[in-house]
Amino acid sequence: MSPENVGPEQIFRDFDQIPFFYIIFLVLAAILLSSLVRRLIPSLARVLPPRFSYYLLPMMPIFRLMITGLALLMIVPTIVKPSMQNFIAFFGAIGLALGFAFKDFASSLIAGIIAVYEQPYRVGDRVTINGVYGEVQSINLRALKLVTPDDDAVTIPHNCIWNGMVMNSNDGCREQQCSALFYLNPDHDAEMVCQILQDVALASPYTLFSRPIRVAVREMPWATQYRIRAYPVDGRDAFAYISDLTCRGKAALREAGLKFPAAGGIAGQAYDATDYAV
Amino acid sequence: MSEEACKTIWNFVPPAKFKLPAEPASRKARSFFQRLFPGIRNEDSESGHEAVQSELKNAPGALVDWLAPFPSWSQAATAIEETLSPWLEDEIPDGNSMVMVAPYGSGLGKMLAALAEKNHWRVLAAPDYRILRSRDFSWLADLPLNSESTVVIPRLEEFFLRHFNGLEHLRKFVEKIFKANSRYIIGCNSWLWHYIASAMHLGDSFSRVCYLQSLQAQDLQQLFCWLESQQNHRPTVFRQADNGSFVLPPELTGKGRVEVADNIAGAKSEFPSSFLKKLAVESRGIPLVAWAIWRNSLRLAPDEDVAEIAREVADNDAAATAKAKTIWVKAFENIELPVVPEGAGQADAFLLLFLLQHDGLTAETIFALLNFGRDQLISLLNRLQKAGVVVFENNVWRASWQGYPAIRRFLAEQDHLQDAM
Repeated sequence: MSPENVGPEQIFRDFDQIPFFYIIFLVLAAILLSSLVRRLIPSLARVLPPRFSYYLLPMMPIFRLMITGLALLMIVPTIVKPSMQNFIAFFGAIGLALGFAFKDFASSLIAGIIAVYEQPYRVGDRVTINGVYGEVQSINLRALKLVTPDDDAVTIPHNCIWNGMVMNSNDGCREQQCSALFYLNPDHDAEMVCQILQDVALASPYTLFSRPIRVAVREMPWATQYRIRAYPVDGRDAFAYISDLTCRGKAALREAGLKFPAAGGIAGQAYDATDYAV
Repeated sequence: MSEEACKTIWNFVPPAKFKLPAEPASRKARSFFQRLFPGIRNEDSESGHEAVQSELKNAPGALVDWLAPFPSWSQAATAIEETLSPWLEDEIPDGNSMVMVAPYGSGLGKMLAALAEKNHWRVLAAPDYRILRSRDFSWLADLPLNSESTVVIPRLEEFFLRHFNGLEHLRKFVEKIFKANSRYIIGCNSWLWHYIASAMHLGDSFSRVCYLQSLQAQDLQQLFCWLESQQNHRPTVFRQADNGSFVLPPELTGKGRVEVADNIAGAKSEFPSSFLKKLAVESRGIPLVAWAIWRNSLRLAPDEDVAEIAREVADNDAAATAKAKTIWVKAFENIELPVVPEGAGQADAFLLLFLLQHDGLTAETIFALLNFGRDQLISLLNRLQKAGVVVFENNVWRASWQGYPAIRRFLAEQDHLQDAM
């Protein structure tokens, strides 16, 4: 029998042969399991030390995808007559329908599966996608949800990974390097400033001491640039940490009698794009 | 309990020889599952006796002071002196500084102060915190660099301020000590020591380091028996409320039993009791943490007249002929210890970490060191105080001794810098 001769009555089982209660049971069981996973994994992540959450939370969409897939695999044979031709026709028709009607949706779903495998972002990562920076709050089948530093929730479909660029600041790790910039009038003792800024990072309660603290110096025509590079204990505190370093650094430099360059000098210069990097 | 016997519990060892009281694997597993499923009951608590335990009366403060007074540190000072004697007697020692490290709540500062007083050594006074916050380093010029007498710094925490200027003061201070000809004995709490060694990388700037060995269950038994015999002239027995077993050997408690104690000490195989073993693990063998929990566990029988008991225990004359008095000790699992409040986060962790590293801070210094709003800090301090995790004494906020195990666990969960003890 060729596929073009296959009619619906030959693909699907008779109405009275379809075990509706079984299907409802499977759907409910899948929903229940999925919500159980959604609750259990975060609570397990809360109980365990925070570093484990970076491994556990990304597992959540994988488990949910597996549950959904398994439920579908069990449901389809109860609706479709079990033959290879029927399955090809059924999935072909679904694929065609999805291809036309839900092209972007299907694209996002497939990208979601690829994202689970490739992991360009994980729950808890700080990423920049399409120019939006934020922490990945959740990864669902179609889209991921970011929360920006301004506390805005942004939903981005997974198909952004096909053509767009995903910048991941911590790539699954808890640590995230942060840098705070300072500009000083060039006439000063650079070694002393390095020591002061080192102490600024050491004094900050956010600082993680298992990673190095570095102070980089760069001479510019109008000022000397100092950059503290250090890691906060929890990468989610990146903005708070940079603010803390900046406040402490300014106070420390002022107390040491160091002069900041005139505002006009800075305003006239083009900043390096990386100056804004977290 | 003889004074000499109690002296043996204080041991200072090289860092590599430091060991914590061993925690049985079963207890570790149980505590993990209890955190995962808070509803799990503790199999150690004997439900049949819970009603009795709940009826026990709190022992009045005066009575607790008689039964478990604040430790005196003279034996510990003698133990330190014996540890240091080879170094002190060496005419050309390798290095002029000895750092004694002990966990928060060990009474190390008081031990070293007692040692200095006994030997008439100079105790170095710390500069004011306002000086440590400034860039005025002039106080360093007055340090005794060529003193013939040994110089003692009981609490290095007083010379430390986790502030961008404070760290420079400490760095210069350590450099001065390194160049000095005098011998320096320096006491340092383990939290600060870990910060100095791991974050500031100044650990190797000191010649020698030794750690106060944690008190094992046997040591706690000796300590509590000795404390009890200090003021309490009446024979007293300490029994566990849920099963009636003796928590301390009855032969060793109460004045007038010393001779008996010396004869039969070690004869009983069931001591140290399981209560003391659990206490040693929970308190990490830290003297004042264990002492505070021990005091919290003491109870009186429901039919006891609290005022009468307090009078009886204090009456030295009546005590000689009196019958042994029973003090009930709550089962370890039923002791209510402070816990870090639910929902505590980074700000709480920072505050607690700073309090531990500085061994207590005034409110003004806390405001200066932590870049949070004053309102937020006040509310944090009040919340933690209500939970019993911090206390306010002599104008200083510090971590409570009973709350220390919970604080340490909380900071570990938050992945904050830990001490090694």
